[in-house]
Amino acid sequence: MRRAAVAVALLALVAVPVARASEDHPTSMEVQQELFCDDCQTTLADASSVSWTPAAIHQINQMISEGYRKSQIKSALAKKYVGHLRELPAKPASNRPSLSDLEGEIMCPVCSTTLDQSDSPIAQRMKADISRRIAAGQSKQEIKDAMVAEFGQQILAAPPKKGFNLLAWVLPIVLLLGGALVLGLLAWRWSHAREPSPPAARLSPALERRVDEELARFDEG
Amino acid sequence: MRRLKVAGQVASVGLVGALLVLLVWKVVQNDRTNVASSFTKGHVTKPVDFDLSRLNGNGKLQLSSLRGKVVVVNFWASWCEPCKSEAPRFQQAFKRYGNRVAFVGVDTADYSSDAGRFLSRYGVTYPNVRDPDRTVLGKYGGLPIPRTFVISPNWQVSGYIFGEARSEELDSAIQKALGA
Repeated sequence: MRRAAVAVALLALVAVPVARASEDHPTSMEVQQELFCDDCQTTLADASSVSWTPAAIHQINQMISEGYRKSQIKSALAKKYVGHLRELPAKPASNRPSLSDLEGEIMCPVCSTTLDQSDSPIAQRMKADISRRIAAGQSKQEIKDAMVAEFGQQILAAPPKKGFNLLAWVLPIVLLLGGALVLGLLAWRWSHAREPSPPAARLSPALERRVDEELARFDEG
Repeated sequence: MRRLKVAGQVASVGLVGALLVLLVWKVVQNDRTNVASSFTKGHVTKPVDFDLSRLNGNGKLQLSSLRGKVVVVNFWASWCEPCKSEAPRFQQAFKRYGNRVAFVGVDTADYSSDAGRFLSRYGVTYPNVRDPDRTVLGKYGGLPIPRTFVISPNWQVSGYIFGEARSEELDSAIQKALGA
C-alpha cells in the first residue's frame, strides 16, 4: 500500500511538470491534436483537404511564438473558426490510443484479417471512424466497446479475458504446463531405469582359484 | 514403462481419430446448414429461421412469422457496390407485388448509421434487419454478397440469385415461387 502511494507520488512529480510545460510552451502539433475539424472529421493535425486549415495552423504558430498558452490558443481558434473547429480536452499523449494500435486489435468484418491488413471499403470506413473517435478523446476500451456494439464480439482480434473466453487464454498455458509435467515425469522414469545395476555376486572361492590358475597359465603361454 | 508407452500410443491414435471425426462432422454439418450450397446441389432446402432487430422500425422480425407467403430475402451492406445497383430493383418489385410477396433485407457487417443512410438514399421501405456479426449470412452461404433467396409458401427455398439481382431474374424467381 505504501509502495503504491510512493509510486503515484513519483508519477505525479514527473507528470505534472510535463503537463505544465505542454500548457505553457505547447508545440504546434500538440495544439493541432487538440482541435477537432468538423469539416474533415479529424483533428486539425490530420486535416489536409480544407482550404482554411493552413491559415489556422499559421495562426497557431504565430500565437506560440508570441508566448500564448495552449488553452488560450485553442480558445482563440475555436472562436475564430466557430462551426468548423472545436476544442478537444487536453489529454496526456501517452494515454491517447493510436490508430495503428487499434488496427492490429480489430478485425475487418469481411476479410478475416485485422484492419491493418485490409484495404476494403468497410475497413477504410472503420479506420476513419477509429481516427475520429481517437480525436474525440475516446479511450482504447471505449473505441473497442463501440466496435463490438456495431459488429459483435467477433470484431475483436483477441477474445476478451473474461467469462468463457478466458479459456482461450488459460487453456494454452495449462496445456503447456501439463506437457512439461508429462515430459518431466517421462525423463525422470527414463533416468531411473538406467541407474547402474548392482555388482554381480562374488565368485565362489573354488571358482576364483580356478580363474586365477587359468589366467596364470595364459600369461605363461 | 512398456504399459505406459502403449497407453500413450493408444491415447494419441484416439485423439487423432476424434479430431478426424470432428472435422468430417463439421464439414457435413456446414454443408447441410448452408442454404446456398444445399439449394445449388439440388436438395430440397428449408430456409434457416432468424430473429433479428429491425433496421427501419422497432423490435425484431422473425423470418418464420412470414410462413405461408412468398418471401424474398436479400443480403446486402452499404459498402457493397452491386447492392447499390440492385437496391432500386427490389424496391420496385416490392411496390409491384404488394401484399402477394414479402421482402426482407438483411444488412450484414455494416455500420447501422451507414445502413440507415443507404435505405434513405435508395428509398427502401420494406422491412430490413441487421445481422452485424454475419451469423445469419453464414448459414445462408456467407460472403461475398449480395445473395438473394426466394422462399415459396410451402416454406422451401425455390430461387437463389448469387451476386447482383437483375429485374428479370428476380421476377422469374418470384413468379416460380408464386406458382409453387
